[in-house]
Amino acid sequence: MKNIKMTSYQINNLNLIRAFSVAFSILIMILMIQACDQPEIPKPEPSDNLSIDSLVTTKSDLVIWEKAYITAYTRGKNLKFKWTTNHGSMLGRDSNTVTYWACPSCIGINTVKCTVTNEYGTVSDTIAIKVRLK
Amino acid sequence: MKQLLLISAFLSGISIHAFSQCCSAGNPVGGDATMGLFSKNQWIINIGYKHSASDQYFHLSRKADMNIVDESFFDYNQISVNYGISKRLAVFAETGYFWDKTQKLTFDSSEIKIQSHGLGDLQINLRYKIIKSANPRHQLIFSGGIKLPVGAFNEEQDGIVVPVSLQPSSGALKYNVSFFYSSKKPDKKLGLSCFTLFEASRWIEKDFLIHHYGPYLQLTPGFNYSLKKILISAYIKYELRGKDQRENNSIIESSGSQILLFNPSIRFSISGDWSFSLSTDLPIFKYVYGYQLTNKYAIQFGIRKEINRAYSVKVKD
Repeated sequence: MKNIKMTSYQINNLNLIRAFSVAFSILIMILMIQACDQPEIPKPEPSDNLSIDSLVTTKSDLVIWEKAYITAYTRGKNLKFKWTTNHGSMLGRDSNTVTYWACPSCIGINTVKCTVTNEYGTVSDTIAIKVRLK
Repeated sequence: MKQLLLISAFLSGISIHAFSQCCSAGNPVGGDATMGLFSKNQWIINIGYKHSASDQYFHLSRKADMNIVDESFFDYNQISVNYGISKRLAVFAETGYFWDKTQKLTFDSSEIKIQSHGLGDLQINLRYKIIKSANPRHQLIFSGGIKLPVGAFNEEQDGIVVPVSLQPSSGALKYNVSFFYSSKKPDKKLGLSCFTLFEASRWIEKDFLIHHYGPYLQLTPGFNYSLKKILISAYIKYELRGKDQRENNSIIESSGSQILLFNPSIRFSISGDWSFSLSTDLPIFKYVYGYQLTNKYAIQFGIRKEINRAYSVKVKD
């Protein structure tokens, strides 16, 4: 028969370690679940219910710090917009128009993507914006 | 034993955090202040809060008159755990949460904020004591590991995905190696140490975003002075960042820098188990390629708890 005696300080430390190990394991699990790929959603055909007819920019060749206004001409109701770009910053207010602004680190040909979603599905379109130093 | 731990804590209690140029994507680069401090079956839990701010564009080593971004800052909480597997080997993990990562802009005469928040990346390292001697007490520790881009990299505001530089995660898998050397005579209050870190990144290939962060090198020599339970440190930190690249291996000219910072810190220990620290990063010299927003200052507060499992266990037959 083996008897292990520990002080209350040691027991507290052990409990602290156990609690921390559990919390850390849960955190890792959450991170792994987050990292999983989302299932691919089939893209609907353009229709009056949902489509992007065109993406139009006021300027497609910018010098750094210049701005361009990009508008998405769409069809459909209850549209939700999502704008992304690989380089540069954009500002807007959940509308179909955004302001693209050319920063020094985005010299080159950049892609702006507009994704529109409603109850009929999701469609997207892209436009290229060139940014030059001078 | 407690005295030994206290000396060891003093010897290694420097703040070797680097504050990433505000605001760049992902966790601040560096490590925690526990690299030289581990023993077998010992847990070290470190919780830190960090604020970093930038408000000045630079071109080469001069201020550049560009006022589109008025201010950029982040508030970040970091948690790290270090566990001593053996006397010489330890495993280290660190992650964090950006409460607020913000750029303030003046746009068409109105003030606008671009903000994000979310979980940062997860760093996992193995640390190995290459050299350890008692008198003079000096040690050399190697650390190698990876930073997994598990954090938020798709943060958006008003239907617009915020720029990569404001995302809590870097979005890229990173590798790092570092060395930490410290030396102190047991009867002296002054100790010397040096930390060096190299970090390399893999390419991000996500949708139409193709990006490669430039390599990062940090060299931090300095000294620390111990007064009973207080440790005062002063370091000079040199940071070299290589230029970023985008598709077709095109170099992003407005990236990469050489920064020299002054990094003073103070650590207060309570009974060898708990300690509190306060440190700051103050730029002395900045040289940036192209035009870049540079860091003005960074400040960090940390709480550290050490838990020793190397207690005696009485066994009765």
